[in-house]
Amino acid sequence: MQPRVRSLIATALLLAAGGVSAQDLRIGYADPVSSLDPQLNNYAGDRSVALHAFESLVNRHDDKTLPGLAKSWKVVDPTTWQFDLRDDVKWQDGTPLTADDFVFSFERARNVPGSVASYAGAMRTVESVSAKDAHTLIIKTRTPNANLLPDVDSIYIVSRHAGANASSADYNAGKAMIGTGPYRFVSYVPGDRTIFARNDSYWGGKPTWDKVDFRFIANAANRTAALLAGDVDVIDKVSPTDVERLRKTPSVNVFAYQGLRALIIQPSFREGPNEFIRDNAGKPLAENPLRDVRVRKALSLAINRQAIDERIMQGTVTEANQWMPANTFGYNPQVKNIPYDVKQAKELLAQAGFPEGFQLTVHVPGDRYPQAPEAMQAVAQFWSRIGVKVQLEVLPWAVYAGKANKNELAISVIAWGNGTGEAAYALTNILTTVDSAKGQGASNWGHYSNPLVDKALVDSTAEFDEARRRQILEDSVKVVSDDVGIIPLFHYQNIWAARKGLKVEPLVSDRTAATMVTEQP
Amino acid sequence: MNAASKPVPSHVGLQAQSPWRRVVLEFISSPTAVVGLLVLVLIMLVAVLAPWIVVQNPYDLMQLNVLDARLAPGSANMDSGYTYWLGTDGQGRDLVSAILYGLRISLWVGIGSALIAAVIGTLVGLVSAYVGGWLDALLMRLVDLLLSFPVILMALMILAWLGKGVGNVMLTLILLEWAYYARTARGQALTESRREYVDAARGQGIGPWRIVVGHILPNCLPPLIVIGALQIARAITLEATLSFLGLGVPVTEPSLGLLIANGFQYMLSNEYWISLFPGLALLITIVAINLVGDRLRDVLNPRLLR
Repeated sequence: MQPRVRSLIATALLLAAGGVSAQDLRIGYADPVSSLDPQLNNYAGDRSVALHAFESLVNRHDDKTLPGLAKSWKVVDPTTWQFDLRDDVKWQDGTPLTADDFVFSFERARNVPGSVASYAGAMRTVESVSAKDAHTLIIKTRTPNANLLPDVDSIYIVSRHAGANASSADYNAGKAMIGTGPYRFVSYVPGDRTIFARNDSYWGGKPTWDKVDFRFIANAANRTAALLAGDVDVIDKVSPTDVERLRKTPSVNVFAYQGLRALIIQPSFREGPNEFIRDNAGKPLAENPLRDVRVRKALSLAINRQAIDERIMQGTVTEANQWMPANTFGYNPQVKNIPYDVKQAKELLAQAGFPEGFQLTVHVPGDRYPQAPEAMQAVAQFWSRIGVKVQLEVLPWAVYAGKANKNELAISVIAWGNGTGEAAYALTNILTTVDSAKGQGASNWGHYSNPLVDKALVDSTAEFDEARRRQILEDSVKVVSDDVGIIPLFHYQNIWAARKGLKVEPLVSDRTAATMVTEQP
Repeated sequence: MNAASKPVPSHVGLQAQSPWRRVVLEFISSPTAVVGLLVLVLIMLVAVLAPWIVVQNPYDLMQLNVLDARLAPGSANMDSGYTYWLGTDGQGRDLVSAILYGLRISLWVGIGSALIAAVIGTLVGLVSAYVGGWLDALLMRLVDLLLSFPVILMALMILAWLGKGVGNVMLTLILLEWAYYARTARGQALTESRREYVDAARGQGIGPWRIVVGHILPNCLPPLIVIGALQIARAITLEATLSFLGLGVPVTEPSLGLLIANGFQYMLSNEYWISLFPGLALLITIVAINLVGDRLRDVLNPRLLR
């Protein structure tokens, strides 16, 4: 609520000063948007756009849960949750919001036609959602799920009356773009921009901006140039190469916050030959060497993470030894930074039967994760020093995601957002055994599978005691770390830059939305 | 113009009147063209000899050190003490080495694709002109289609379908460029095939294939050579463009275009050298080729003969 109160004060001050009557905000953002349908794909860009018009059940700030559309909630029994909903919330077309809209939203999120990164994982424990009365919602889970709030909160609430027969295309066309959020949809040009205007009937504090021009600028240098030229007021995902330059520019402020997103290498655990793993003569190896923990460990030890931080990322990241950054729920402080140890790496490779190494093709998306191709080129350098000869292929995201999803690659790279701020989110999506029926492992591109990890998710989900849940998650971090199920590289900082006079405060993780920007006199 | 259609002169006379000798003499009468040619020869020499001149193989990941990334021109290498005269790129590649290796790719792609396209295009043009009828119509509509499409768009489509790699870039360039040769060769061949010497050859009972290759083709060559020179420059630029857009060569083996693209992101942070020097190398190469090509056009164009 804090930022909202502040934005209210800022607006009041400005109005009192008799200042500008029309306040427009232009944001240049980096993440591509696949659709305006807030339930189609769990993509960063889609979520950022949706944040303007739509809301979810509660409000989450880092790992705290605050009231939102639900005023309060209680756990009736371990598998039954009851939510008391606000009764003063109206859809942007004037229809009142009722519990039935929630029922519709949660059921729709399970299966949206055409989804390639669905929200099914968030619904994996939910058995049924029902409306007790117009403003009371009951969620029943199949098994006790202590983590239900962060789970279901990732799902945006859409209306039944506008959305019942709406396809994703109807959202893109604006027909179904009716939310409860602080800004209402005006227009959308795919691949270019979305325009929003203030929702005057918003139930919360008065939104700061009259009009929001939310502009997609894929190239980081172009975003910086657009900000410097005054074409936009705020940019997100500032390139590490531009941070220093922007800090020195008096007309601009840089806002850097510790982020939740980690760049992670996922080795493939697929059995049998893989066309991207070959012996030194170029013949595919009969067995996948990455299934040997010694090989994975060697690959992890061979990486000089500090060098990547300093030389490639220019100090805008923190070395990672696990998937969550320090001081988050589930972060295990016992797991130490992974040393850069070429000697041990070579020994491990030799023990695993590869004293001369092997050939490896590494794939990375070129248009999605900041500096990922550059970082992976450095990783390729380091791996070549222990005899693993790397060919690096940079693919467009659309091609890459398709291949990664089918586990066709040998080494894939993911920048996992850890959007819920706790460790179970990554467990569910990138570490547990792939099982689409249970909504597990949706982004586990290497098909890593470890019964201990699967058990940790089950246990943590059933554990309502916070301290014990934390312990289970921390233990799972240790399991994955010892097993080198993933090779973590670094945690991104979230960096925004804005013209002087504006302030940017993070809302959730690295999302970018107009609600995060306030006037700073 | 054609030796075969003229009375056989004395040996010395042939030398003195040889059209190619005139071409050479006219060519060197332009100092700028000579400078262009010299620069071009020099560039080709260093590109061919690159593996023996450079201090580092920029395509061998073992020889790169990311700790040497983004060093300014004139900095020293951390391990073995050689100097990065033009600085290093974001991965610690010596830019002198990277530029020379990049030139190799550019010239190989440019000259290779232009030559192959020239052979294919000329053959298609000649056949089209000589056979005529529906085949001519079909081939020329195909050429029209290719020429009317924006080149970059076509290249993007073809590469998206074929995938990346030097071989595929060359293939793309060939697919796009043969049309220019075909159109020119056809036009030229149509004019030539109405000349008396062709009738004379026919009258002597010489087969069509020999007439086309032995009599018509030599007379079509001058304009094709001019197009060839300009197409090489075009192919190099196009390769650089495609690599800049991320559709050309692999990132670990950058050509000039990719070097420029990689350096582009550092332009705002004053690390200008990563883009600037590969850009200059590309510029000088293209200018040199164009100078040579322009002069060739002047001296080979019969209409500009005084």
